[in-house]
This record gives sequence, structure tokens and C-alpha cells, in this order.
Amino acid sequence: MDEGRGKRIGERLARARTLLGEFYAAPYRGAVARARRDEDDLFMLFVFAEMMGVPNPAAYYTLELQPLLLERFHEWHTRMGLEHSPLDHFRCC
Amino acid sequence: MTVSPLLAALVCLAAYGVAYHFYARFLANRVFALDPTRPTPAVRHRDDVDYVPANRYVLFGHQYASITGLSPMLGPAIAVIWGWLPAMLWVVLGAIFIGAVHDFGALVVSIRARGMSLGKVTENLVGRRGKTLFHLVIFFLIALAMGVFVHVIAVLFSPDFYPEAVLPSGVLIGVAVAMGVAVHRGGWGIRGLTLVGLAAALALAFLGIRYPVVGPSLAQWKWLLLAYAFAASVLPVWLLLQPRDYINSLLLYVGVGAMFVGFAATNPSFAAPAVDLSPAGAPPIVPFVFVVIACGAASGFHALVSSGTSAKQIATEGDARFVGYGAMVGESLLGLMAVLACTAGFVSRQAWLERYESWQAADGLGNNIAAFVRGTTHFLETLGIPEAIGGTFVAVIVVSFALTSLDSATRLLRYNVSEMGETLGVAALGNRYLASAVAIAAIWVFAFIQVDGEFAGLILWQLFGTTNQLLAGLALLAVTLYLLRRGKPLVYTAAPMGFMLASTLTVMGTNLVGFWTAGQWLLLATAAIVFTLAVWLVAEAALAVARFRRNPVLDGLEVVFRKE
Repeated sequence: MDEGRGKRIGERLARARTLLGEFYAAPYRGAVARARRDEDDLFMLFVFAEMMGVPNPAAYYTLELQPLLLERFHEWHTRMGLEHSPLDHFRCC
Repeated sequence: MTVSPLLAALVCLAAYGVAYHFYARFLANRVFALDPTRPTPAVRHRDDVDYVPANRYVLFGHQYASITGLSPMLGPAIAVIWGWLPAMLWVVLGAIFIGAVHDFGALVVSIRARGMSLGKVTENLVGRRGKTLFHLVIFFLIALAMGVFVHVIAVLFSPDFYPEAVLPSGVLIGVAVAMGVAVHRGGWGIRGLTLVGLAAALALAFLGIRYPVVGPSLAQWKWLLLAYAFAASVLPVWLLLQPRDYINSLLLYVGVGAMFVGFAATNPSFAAPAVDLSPAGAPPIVPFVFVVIACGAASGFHALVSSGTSAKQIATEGDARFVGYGAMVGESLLGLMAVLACTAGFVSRQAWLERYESWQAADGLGNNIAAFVRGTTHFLETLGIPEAIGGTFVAVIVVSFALTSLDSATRLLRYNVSEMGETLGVAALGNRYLASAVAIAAIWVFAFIQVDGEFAGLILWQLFGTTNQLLAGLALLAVTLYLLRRGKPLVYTAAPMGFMLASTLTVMGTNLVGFWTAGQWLLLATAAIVFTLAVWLVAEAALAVARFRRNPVLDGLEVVFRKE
């Protein structure tokens, strides 16, 4: 078999694999992404609950996560139906 | 003169080809005015979550696998009691002129409406009442169909039919869950898993024959299946639904391919008569054949798939014909195979008559589906697959179709219940466990309903068919109103809509009288509701057209269908 043909077959196989992967993922991409987002939202609540006056036993342990999540804070509070940052000392927008 | 089934099948295939090439192209160009350069929702609203441009073959594969379930096999398996010709004609012509047009139209309208679901589109085109109507129709549709499916699976698992399919079906669920975990959590590649999954499915057929599962009674199986449906409805999709759908689609392609090759190699002759207008105890062929065969010829359920997921992922409008019309032709092929298997898959007229002696003999839905399994097994035998193995393999495929429909449809029903709860202001129904429980309760009613001590299978099947065609009428109404607004020809969608409504109303009218005379109150109530919904739909259609005549530019529409 000459090299060009082998390469073409290789490319086709790679393409078939990509399509198969898409075929697996595509129909449920939205549902999975939404489920993951819900989980993330719950996580945000865990981290920021204490600041909003919701007693949270894990507050002490989640404190150091706050700076890491700040970038996502705006997106989260708007999704939770709060137009502006719910925290007095914590201006977001 | 005797007609060879092979010849008949070839004629049908040619008809599909011509229809796809000419009629679908005509619809695409002249009626829907598709423009490959116009950005689709997947392109314009791309968010890589819901809106993602997808490869057309991937999309076709998904659309095909989602619309194809147990129904295109079961409907024809019942309807061949009137002979092979009417069933075949309705499967082929119905798909070409009604079913595929419906799927295609729903897809196009949804693409033009930013990928909105059909419910939302209906709300915009028909009004708020239209949405309520839509929710109710879907509720009955899914509950009825799943009640029948639960019964059919339970019967197939019973010792009289295919107890050897139990073990493979159960283990396949386990394989799917393992696969879901491996892909989602372990980041495994899809290639190895595909091979493992398929190999497992095939190997399991042998295991099943070795260890048939006999024990649970019919009622116990039904309870187990309902429990499974509940679990599937609340579990994350990546764990069960996603891998199961995937394995199932592959099985579908392998299975249907093998059946057609086997059929061609067998080159059988028809054991059934071409036409039998008055089989003992059967209702009149017109209009009943049009609702007994729903999926495979025309099905409103498909509009949910077209308008929900596919429309959000289509990369160019040019792909809509292939995905919308093409996938329906694909499903109709399975319907055609079912007709062939149940009429030419029998060794003699005598063997056929034993199954289809009368409507009552065909009454057990399990008997019907067994006719399909037996026919296709006969075709597979020609390919050198022993009867026992082939039979189990086909039975496993049939069961896994029914099970995947059951798990995804229960989830759909749960969403439906939640949305209705929202409309009614019952916030509690937003809870997934409660909504699932309500969904399961509705399925339970129809899974256990009895008439004269026998399961009301065939009657429920007709009710399902009617509701399904009603939904098709509703979707076609939305498409027609859209075309009306666009100043495009209406007849290609309005005529199918009229046909669907006329057959639905006639069947329901006949059934209502029957249930009343027999004193079947639960069935009467269900049928009355469906009948009312049908009349309601006709009224909405008339009102919507009248509204449009008075005021050609409707406010609600303007927002949705902005001119590009």
C-alpha cells in the first residue's frame, strides 16, 4: 500500500471517530451542561451563603474559595434572579 | 397473479427515492423556500450548549434514532390483518405525503423561530389556548403509548414469548450505566466502548438462551418496569439515557440492515392475502388503518424531536431536507420491514392464519410483536443465523426499543407535568420526584387497564394512534399558519392536516359509541377527552385562519418571525 492511501484511510478513521464521538455527545450536550450548571449554582451558594446571612456550617472551609469564584459571581447572581449583588460590602455590578 | 415481496419492496424503495429527490426538493424550494445562506439558530445563537452547529450525518443519526421506536414495528404488525397491500400503501404513501412533510415542516418552522420547541411556536401562532391544548395532547399521547409499551415488554418477558430476552435486556442496562460512568467520569474514548457495547449485546443473546428468566408474573414485570421508568426519569442523563440511546441506535442500524439483507437473500413469497376487507371481528379498514399504523407512516411525536433538539443544531437550512424528510423515510423503511416480516416472513398461509385468524386472535399485542420477531428471524436464518439466536437477538432489539422509548418518554412526561404545573400555578410540580411520580401514575393507569378481564391493549393502541395523529394535525396546523403568513402554497400541509383530523374524528366517534354501548367508562372518559381535544383543535384552526384574514399581520407573530 502506498503511503498516500494509508494516510487517507487514517484520516477517514479519525473522522469516523470524531463523528461517533459527536453522535454520542450531541443529543445530550444541553441537558448535561444544564445539570452541571445546577450543580455549580449549588456550589456557589455553599461558598457565598454565609455572606448573605444564610448560616452555613461549611463557611470556614469554603472561605478561601471565594476569590476563585468571583469571576463567576455576576453570572450566578443574575441567574438566581438578583439583578445586583445582594451583598452590601461586595459590589459586583 | 402473485406479487413477489422483493419486487414490492423494490417498488417502495424506488418511491422513497423519487419522493426524496423530487417532492422533498420541491417542498424545500417552493414551499419552505429554504436558503442555505441564511444563518440558522445554531450559527446565530451559538452557545455550545443547546445551540451548536452539528454535522448533518450526526444530526440525521440522532433524529432517526429518536423517532424510531417500537411503534413502527407494532403498528404494521397489527394492520396486516387487512392484508399486506393496504398496510404497505399507507406506510409508503403516508410517509411520503404526510409523515415526512410533517417532520420536515416542523423542523423548518422551528429553525425559522430561533429553534423554539413546537409548544412555544404553537403558543405564538395559535395563542395561549393552543399551548394548553398542546400540553394536554402530549400528556395523553405519552401516557397511553407508555402504558402500552409497559404491557408489551411485560408480555415479551413472559414464559410464553421470550424469557431468554430478559437477561440480555437487563445486562444491557448495566453495560450502558458502566459506559456512561466511563465516559463521563473516566474520560474514556468512545471507540473502545462502542466495540465493547456491541460485542456485549451480541454475546448476551447466547447467555440469554442459556439462562431464560422465568418467575415474575405479568403484573410484577409491569411494576418493575414502572420502577425502572421512574429511576430513568430522575437519574442524570449521562448515567443512563445517553449511553443507552447510543448503544440502542447502533443496534438499530445493525438490526435493520441485517433484516433487509436477510429479506433480500430469502426472497420469500407473501403468506398473507393482498387485501382482506373483512377479517373476523376487525373494525372497518378505513379509517382504522390510518390510526393503527401511526409511526412509520405519520406521527405527531416526531415534531417534538424535530422542533426541540434538531432545529437548534442544524448547521444550514440546506440540511433540513436530509434531516427532516430523510429521517422519516428511514423510519418508514422500518415500517415497511415490519409489513414484510409479518406477511412474507411466514412459511405458509396456514402459519400466517394461525396468528391473524381474527382481530381477537391478533388482539394480544404480544402476539403481534411476536409475528414481527418471527418474520425477521426467518429472514435472518437465510443469513446463517440459527433461529434461536436470531429470535433472541430480534426480541432484545424490540425490547430495548421499547425500554429506551419508555425511559426517555417518562422524562418528557415529567417535563410536561412540570410545565403544566407552572401554567396552573402548582409550584410543587417543579420537583422532579413529584413530577415523575405523577407521570408514572398516568402510565400506570394505562398499563393496568382492563376490558372484560383482558388487557385493553388494542383499544389503547387505537387511542394512542388517534392522539398521535391529532398531535400531527396540530403541528401541521402550525406549519400551515406559518406558510399562510409567508404567502406560500398551503395545500401541501393543509391537505395532510385535514386528512389526519378527518380520520382521527371518525375513529374517535366510532370508539365513543362502542365504549358507551359496552359501558367501558374509563376508556369512554379517555376517548371523550381526546375527542374534545380534536374538536378543539379544529376550532382553533378555524379561529386562527379567521384572525389572520381580519388582520394579516398578527402582533405575536411579528416578534417571532422577524424578516431577516
